[in-house]
Amino acid sequence: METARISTWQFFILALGYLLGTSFFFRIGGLISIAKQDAWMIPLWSGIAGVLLVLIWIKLANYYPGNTIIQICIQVAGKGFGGFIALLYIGYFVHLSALITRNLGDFMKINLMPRTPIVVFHVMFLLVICYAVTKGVETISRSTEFLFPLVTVTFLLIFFIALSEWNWDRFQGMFHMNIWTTMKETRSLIGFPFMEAFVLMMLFPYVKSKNRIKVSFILANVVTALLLSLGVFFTIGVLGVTRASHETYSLFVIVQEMHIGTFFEHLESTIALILLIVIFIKLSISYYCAVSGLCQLFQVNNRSWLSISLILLVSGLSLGFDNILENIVFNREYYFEYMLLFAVIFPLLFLFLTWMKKGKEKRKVVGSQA
Amino acid sequence: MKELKKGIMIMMTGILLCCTTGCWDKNELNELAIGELVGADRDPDTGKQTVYYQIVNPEAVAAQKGGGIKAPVYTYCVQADSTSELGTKTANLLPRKLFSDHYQSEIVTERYAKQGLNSLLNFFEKQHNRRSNLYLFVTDSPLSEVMMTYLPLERLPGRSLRSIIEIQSKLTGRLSRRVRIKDLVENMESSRLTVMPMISLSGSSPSPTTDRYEKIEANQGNLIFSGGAVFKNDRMIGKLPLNQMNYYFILKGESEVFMESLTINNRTVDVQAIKPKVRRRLDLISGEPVWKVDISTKLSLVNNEQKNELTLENLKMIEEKFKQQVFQKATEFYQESISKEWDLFGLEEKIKYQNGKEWDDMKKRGIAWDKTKLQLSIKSEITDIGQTINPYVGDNDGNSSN
Amino acid sequence: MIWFILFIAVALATSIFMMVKQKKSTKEIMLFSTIVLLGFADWISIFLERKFNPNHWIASFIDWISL
Repeated sequence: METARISTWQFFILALGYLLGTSFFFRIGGLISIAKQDAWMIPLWSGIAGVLLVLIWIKLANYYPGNTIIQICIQVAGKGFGGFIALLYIGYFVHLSALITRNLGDFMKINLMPRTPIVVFHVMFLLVICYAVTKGVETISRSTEFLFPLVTVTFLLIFFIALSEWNWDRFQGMFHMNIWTTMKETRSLIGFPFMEAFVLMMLFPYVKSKNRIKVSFILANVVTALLLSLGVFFTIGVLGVTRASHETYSLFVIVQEMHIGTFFEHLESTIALILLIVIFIKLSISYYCAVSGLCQLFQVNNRSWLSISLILLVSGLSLGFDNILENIVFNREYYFEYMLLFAVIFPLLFLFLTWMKKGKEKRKVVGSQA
Repeated sequence: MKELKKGIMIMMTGILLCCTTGCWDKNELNELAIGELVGADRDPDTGKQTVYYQIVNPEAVAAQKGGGIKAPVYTYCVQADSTSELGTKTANLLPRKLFSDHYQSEIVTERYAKQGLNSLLNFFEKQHNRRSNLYLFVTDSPLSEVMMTYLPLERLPGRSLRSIIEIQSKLTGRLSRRVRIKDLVENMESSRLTVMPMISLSGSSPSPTTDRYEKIEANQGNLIFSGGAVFKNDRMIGKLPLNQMNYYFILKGESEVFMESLTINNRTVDVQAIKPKVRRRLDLISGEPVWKVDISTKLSLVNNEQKNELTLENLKMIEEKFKQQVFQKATEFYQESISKEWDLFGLEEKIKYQNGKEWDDMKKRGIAWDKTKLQLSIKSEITDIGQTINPYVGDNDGNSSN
Repeated sequence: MIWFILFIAVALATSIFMMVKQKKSTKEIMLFSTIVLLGFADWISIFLERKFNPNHWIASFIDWISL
């Protein structure tokens, strides 16, 4: 296991970039098409669910300080069953990497380079990621720290320029939703991005001050929920419900149609760059987790060969969807349930087993004393 | 070993460079037909679609500053039975790849607009390289003539049309900049109407040759702004005359300026309101919906043909007259649109989304949106009187009709 | 496809050769080859147009659980 150390601030930025980055691009339009003018409320309650989940994960991690989720699996459930669950986790990390890669490919192919084969985007980007992962978590977090201000500034710029299109009339018809059906239909927002954040449990051991993980993780969740809500609000005000719910990438459309006077136009490549950065953050984390999970499970010391070999698998799996609609449908209908297994059921199971063990030990101690 | 590593590194870099993703989507400038203005028409009887593309002639645009006269654009015309066929037929005709990223404006004919632009707009919005912030025009002149005329000064017709909108919104307030394709698309699924600009060909015939650049007379064969086309969803249902357009935009709260010509002491006084502030809200007064519009603005005197001296009392009179006249004309315009059942200001939706017991009562009583009364209040003060205070008094009293 | 198979064969052989030279443990080499072969199988399934689609499997599994 590597001896890297990341600071609390770096962990916060990693968590924020991981949670907010891609969901800001891919989530907003879908939410608006379901909940119309009320869509800005959905990230808020999903964020609350996210914070609750974080509390569970932190609780679990506190029982096993200095261990990643893979090691926890083995410690709690033994080599056989625990190893199997750890393998499932690794499988999920690989699958997640494939999904993120596919998001990148879809975005680039649909919006910017329709004639380029999608595989090329995937493989090229995975090569970069593979390099970052080989270099380790410190490199990833430092590059994130370096790139994140760039993303923020660009977003702020976009935000202020696009405000000229703002129209309050677009909010007409707020507070008309049916809360239960909306909650049910938008449950996938809890899955992506909030449940996905359990991947960050792989990074807990590297954070310098253990007791501040909790605060920064929860803070990242809260900030994500607020900014996502703001993003939805902004999209409704600038683009309008009708168009936002028809467009595949509403944020991209906003930037595409943005102009300052008649001479600053066609600014969409800037947003594509930003997307590349946030995908880099997210993909490097999930890919890193897959590789280091394998390393931990099979006790291998060097990540480089494993990370190279995964390129082939991830790029193959990322072609699983034929088109973006399949991706959207999968995400909307199944992703929450799928994530439930990894983010809720397994951690709760581990917590339960830990409590059982503790109870047993206590009874043993009490028994031997008597 | 080190040498080998270096060699592998260099090889890898080479391979990666070959994969650099731009190559598949590269666009060589001289392989492109850069579209600049596009016009569409659909025959209501046969369903045949006609599309005109104006393609920029890059050499001429480059030479424009040098002064050499060359055709700045060429117009291609394609006819087909369906949208997809249009694409293939365009490929038959154009020797270069059509590049649509730089469209400046789009024109449709009135008869096409009256059939509904649904398929056109849907097709347009699906294209990855479209920009829905380009302006949409409706023309009542024959499209073949509109697309086949050269315009002086601003030689690219698409850009010339774009300038018309920018200038109108800045100088006369008869248009706002929110007349883009996306503004129409946004209202496609709502009951609110959209107003798009109409253009016509001035003069009797178009000017299809570059000879016109050598003539001093510039009026013939121009594209001029001639009114507004009212759209319900994607279908054109009527026209707004030019002199009502500014009332439409000020009630909508989108005016950047507002011009009004007043008659005071039998003399003409022209005032300009700059960036009028418009607050609009819907209210219920004794069970009836009332749309309250408060306009408050600062006025500047553009023209004063009065014989009297400009005193504070006189200014008050002008302000008062402005109020009365705008009130009267805007109310007239509003009544007219209501009697035509044109929901220009989205009142139907506004009422639909009102909450509260009183509103529910009102809706139960079956009072429709077109019973909404307009309650207009106008506040204005003159802050700019121009360079002179009192007008010069000459022998001629300045108003020859008297 | 033939080029792909050739490429993988050569790449796998080279990397195993290099790993052996670097005195990697047998476990690591085995793990590496397994993952490469898994990826290779996935790609071959794509080339043969019988795509292995994990998302589809997951979806039908969830459908089956919730009946």
